[in-house]
Amino acid sequence: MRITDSPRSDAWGFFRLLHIIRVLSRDKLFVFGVTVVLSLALLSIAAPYVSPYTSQGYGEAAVPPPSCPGVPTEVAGVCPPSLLHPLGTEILGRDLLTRILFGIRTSLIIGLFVVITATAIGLFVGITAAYIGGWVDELLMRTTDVFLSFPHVILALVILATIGPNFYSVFIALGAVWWPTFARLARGQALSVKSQNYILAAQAAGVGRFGIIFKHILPNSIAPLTVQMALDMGASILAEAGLSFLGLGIRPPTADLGVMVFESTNFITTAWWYPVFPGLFLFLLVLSFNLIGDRVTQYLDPRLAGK
Amino acid sequence: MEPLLEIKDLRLVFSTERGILDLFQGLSLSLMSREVLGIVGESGSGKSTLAYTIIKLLPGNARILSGKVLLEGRDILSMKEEELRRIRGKEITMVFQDPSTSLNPVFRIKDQMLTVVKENLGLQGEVARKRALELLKQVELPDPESIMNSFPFELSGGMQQRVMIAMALAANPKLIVADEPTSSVDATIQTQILSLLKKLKAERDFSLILITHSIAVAKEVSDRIAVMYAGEIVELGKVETVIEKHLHPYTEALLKSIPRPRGKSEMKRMLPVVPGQVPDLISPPSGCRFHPRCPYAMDICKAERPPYFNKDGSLVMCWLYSEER
Repeated sequence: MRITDSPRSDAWGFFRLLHIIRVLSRDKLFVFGVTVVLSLALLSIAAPYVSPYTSQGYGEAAVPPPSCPGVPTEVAGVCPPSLLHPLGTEILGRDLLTRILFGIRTSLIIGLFVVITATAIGLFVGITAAYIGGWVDELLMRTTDVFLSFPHVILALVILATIGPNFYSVFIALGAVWWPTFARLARGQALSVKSQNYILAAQAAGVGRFGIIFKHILPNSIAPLTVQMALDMGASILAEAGLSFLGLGIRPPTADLGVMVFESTNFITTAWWYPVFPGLFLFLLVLSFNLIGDRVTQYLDPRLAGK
Repeated sequence: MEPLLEIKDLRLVFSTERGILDLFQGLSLSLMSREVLGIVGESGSGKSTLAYTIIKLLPGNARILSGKVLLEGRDILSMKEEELRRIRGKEITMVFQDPSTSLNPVFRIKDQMLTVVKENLGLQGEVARKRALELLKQVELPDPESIMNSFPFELSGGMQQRVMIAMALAANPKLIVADEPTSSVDATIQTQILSLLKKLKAERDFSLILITHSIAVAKEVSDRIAVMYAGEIVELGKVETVIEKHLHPYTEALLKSIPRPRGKSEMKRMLPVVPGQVPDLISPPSGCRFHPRCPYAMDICKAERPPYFNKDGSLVMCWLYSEER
């Protein structure tokens, strides 16, 4: 559910946001989500400094490959969890935990970038449409509709297939398909802000067009988008992992959870740890972002109030 | 003496979904420097639209058919956006009806006051802050320091309106247009705001246009009163004349409908109201727009729009005062 569904969404302000955070700090699922996201983020940021296998995290193969006699997968350097490698090793003999933490970095960077780009483009398009109105509004919003009519991932696939897969293509492709939701949200909010008295008062006080947009409309339109950002973090991380799984996203040697799950497909029957751990961390990360967004949305929905 | 503001032959049309709405019908008005003009009328009589016309801040569906708004001889209605910005907030400022929504909710009073002071007076840093504090003191706000650090929602309606007035005063404007400044605050605050306006008026050099639906409020502060009905000024004169020797039947009806303390025997009597409703301006009544509600309506009222007649120094748009009668 998008927060646009909530009739209360136009009564938004910075203080409502603060108040909501205070109330939500008593919500167990919300706190769980925030805790998991924060600790995973901290761990992944600290990864190069705490992992004994930092170079493997950046993509170097393990030399020599770890040996684990008795395990049928030893040809590939895939070893089960041990004291040296708590989550086991993967196809090039690299420490899976290290790769996963570096993979979470990739996920978070891309998620953040996609969401921030989408917010920036969305705010620009939405506020321009709302402020100027008329045919500009029509043109921008119909273009937005065109983008919205494709499923995000399909459109991203098309873009990636056109420009070729690499680290930056994923940013571009996902950023380009993610903004329409934000544009709609920003337009709705900007329209309601635009009709507020303080906009009229500012105009009467001789504030120019840019002053109205940047000092009055923009700061008052941002609040509902911040929630959408939390909601879309999970979705965009999942989309990126999916694209990488298909080979159209992040390419090795950069660590990526989607790529790891793809590489593990040959070992599903022989090395359970190889698909399970990257998948588990991806699951935890996306779940936590969704929990955060979901709890906030629920809180905002008056139909669910008091439950 | 040259008037500060002169409205000449103003005519506006609004295109709405239901049709064309014709407003002001060649309205003319002038305002002297330091004068307070009260504009009184029911909702929908066009008084707020008149206020917005003065600073050319009209909705997109409004078009100016004819007329001039001259501020010291310069025509505001023919100005470009850039010139308008130099007038708005500097030479002419506005105070709005609902102070709780007229301040930007995400910024502290400090930020909003300082922007106004810096933009309009070119002051910086500590000097600007001192000036802002001084303005808050002038509008009789207690503890201006803590007000500066408050967000708008932390202030009461009366305090917010005082802040709005302080901001309107910041640039030493020649004219302040107050659009129902007391309509959304309670009666005690209303009296306080009115006496504040009176006090400021005595201390400083500005003209004031006070728009209100209450003739009692207008009486408090105005030098002259203009009574508006259905987009036209029907009576314009000195306060005493309008209140005591009112000419137009609509003014008479308005004055009768002011609630006042009465004796016990009269308590059961209904408060007199103006019968009927404000006409739909898309298809206004023929002739005099007040004739369907007027107790003195004559044949000519239905047929012909009355011109202004001069009587006892007042202008009145009513056939009752025609010489030929």
